[in-house]
Amino acid sequence: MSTVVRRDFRSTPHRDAHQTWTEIVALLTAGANGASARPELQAVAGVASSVIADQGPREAAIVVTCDGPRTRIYCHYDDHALDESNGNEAALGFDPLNGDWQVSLPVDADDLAWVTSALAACATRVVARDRKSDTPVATAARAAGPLTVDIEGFLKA
Amino acid sequence: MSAVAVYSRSHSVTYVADNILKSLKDIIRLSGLDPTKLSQDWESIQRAIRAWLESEHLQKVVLEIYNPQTDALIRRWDVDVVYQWSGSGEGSFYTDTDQLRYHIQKAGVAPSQAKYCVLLDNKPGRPDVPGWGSGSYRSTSGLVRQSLGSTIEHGGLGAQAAYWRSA
Repeated sequence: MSTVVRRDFRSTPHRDAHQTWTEIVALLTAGANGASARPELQAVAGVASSVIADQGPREAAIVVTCDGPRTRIYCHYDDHALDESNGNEAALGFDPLNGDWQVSLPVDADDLAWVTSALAACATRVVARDRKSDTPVATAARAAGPLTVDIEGFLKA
Repeated sequence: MSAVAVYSRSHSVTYVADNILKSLKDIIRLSGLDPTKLSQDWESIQRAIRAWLESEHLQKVVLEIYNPQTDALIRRWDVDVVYQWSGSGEGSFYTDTDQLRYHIQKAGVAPSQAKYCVLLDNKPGRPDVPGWGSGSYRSTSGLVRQSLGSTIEHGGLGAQAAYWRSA
């Protein structure tokens, strides 16, 4: 059973969708493997910005898996984004991109086809999934793992 | 305990800019086209919209859907900006996604070979934004404009959508 850590980013109107993704990338690439992963995460900035503007990570997390703890990232919008107490953007105490990492974006079902195609054109480790599902489109086999408890998320709810 | 959010003009700019881009993405996808090109230009378009909303030079955001063989306009979407800052520090967030979706579907799917581009219409004297220069519109001859009314609004900064279709 792997450890799960939650982070919460304040998005629109506190910051725009592109700025939100930029901050998420900064969090994820602060570790030892960040420099090598950063170009791929920056390459998908436009697609990720569209997903964030669509409020995909409002109810379903951006899920980051690696050879270590799993990171679940949510975004807050509207009045919730202006409440500082809703944010938790603190540095992680581990490298979230250690080893075989992957970032899964929660996407509205209507946008899944073009987002999947656009991501595949510029990234191999960033994938899309239906935000009502936990299974990434491109790598369904990877999702078959033990169930875990989002302790931080549970305590925050 | 209840909390009251206080809004700034920057919040309104951020909200409206993000939702204009989201609306463009929805229009493109529901018109049967691929939003990938928009996503590739997302940061540049967002930066320009924000800059020119803040300076109040932006008058409208235009999405042209055209025939790449003839360069003729097939359909055009206008997002007209309305500046009526309330300055009260209060306001609700409003984006009428359903109305927009209804009219996009009513306008119908564009031909699969169609291309699109985004243009930003400014008042004279706009500040420069890197990557943006002067341009021109394709002719709307033979098309009629249909207004949808207010689709995005916060703090008095709003956007009203309209589209041009065959007469």
